[in-house]
Amino acid sequence: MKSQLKRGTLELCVLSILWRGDCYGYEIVNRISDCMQITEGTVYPLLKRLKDNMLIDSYIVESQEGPPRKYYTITDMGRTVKEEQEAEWTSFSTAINKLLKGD
Amino acid sequence: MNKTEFMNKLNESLSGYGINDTREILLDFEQHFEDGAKAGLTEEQVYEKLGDPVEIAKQYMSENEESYTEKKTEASTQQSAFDTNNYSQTPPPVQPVQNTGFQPDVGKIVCILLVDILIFTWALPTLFSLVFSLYGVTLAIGGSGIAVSIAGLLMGIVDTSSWLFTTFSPISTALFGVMLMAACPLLVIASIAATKGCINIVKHIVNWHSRAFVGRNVCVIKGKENV
Repeated sequence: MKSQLKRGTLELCVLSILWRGDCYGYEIVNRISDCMQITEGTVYPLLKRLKDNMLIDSYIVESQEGPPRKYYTITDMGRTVKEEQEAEWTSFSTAINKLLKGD
Repeated sequence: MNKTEFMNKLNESLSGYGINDTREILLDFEQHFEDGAKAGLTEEQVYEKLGDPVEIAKQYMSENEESYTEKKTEASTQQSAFDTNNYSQTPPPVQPVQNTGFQPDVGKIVCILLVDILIFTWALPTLFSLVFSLYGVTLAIGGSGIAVSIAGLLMGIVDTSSWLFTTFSPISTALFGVMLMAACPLLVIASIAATKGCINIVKHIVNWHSRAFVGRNVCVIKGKENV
């Protein structure tokens, strides 16, 4: 996939993953890389921007074994944006599929 | 590249790009390496999947810039969420048009100047003096109301024989005075309304001029969008 298309959709992917429940970084990265080929390091800068834009938030959970763990969670604003982008994506992909099929 | 090398390189590049809160970023990657190890990957394998730390640092910077310009130009254009990231939930406010390369229309300006000279030179002073005289009338009626009331009372005191029987009996005179005084607040309200109307007319005229000369309204009129 070309980077520009991937970059735009990656954000929606992250929001969708967090929409279903809180995750830590490695989980998010893995769920995406299970579905498509990405340079895993690119997810973290995206997470930071989404956090700066207040679409997601993070919190630290102290753990008994090992160092504290950082979790990401989606905000209300993030939910709204996810729904908007999802609708946009659906109509966009329907349109493209229609064109590809040629009817 | 092992974990330590990766972390050092990333830290170095991030500071090189002037990114301040590196602690939180490094924590993310620290954790990523640990989780990778738990999943049975070597540090080398985790690094290979992550990619070049210099590139990652570069991306932090560009995302940072993006979120910065995003905030600045939030109200700019309608872009698809798949082009960039437009988080504004409401339609961006329409900004007053200013530098639109406005070209004044000479014919229109000549017309306006003619109307100014032929009509507004007498119409506006007339209007202003009418409003001013309305204040004068209000004052005069109020004053005479007080005077007539007092006169009625004095008449009653001076000559008690003529009560009720003449046209200008003390009671009817005093009542007439009170009536005049009562008319005063109404006239005050009318005067204020006339003044406001006058101000609005002037604002409309000013805007009519400014639209022709500079292409936009300069006065804000209540209840009207400043187009």
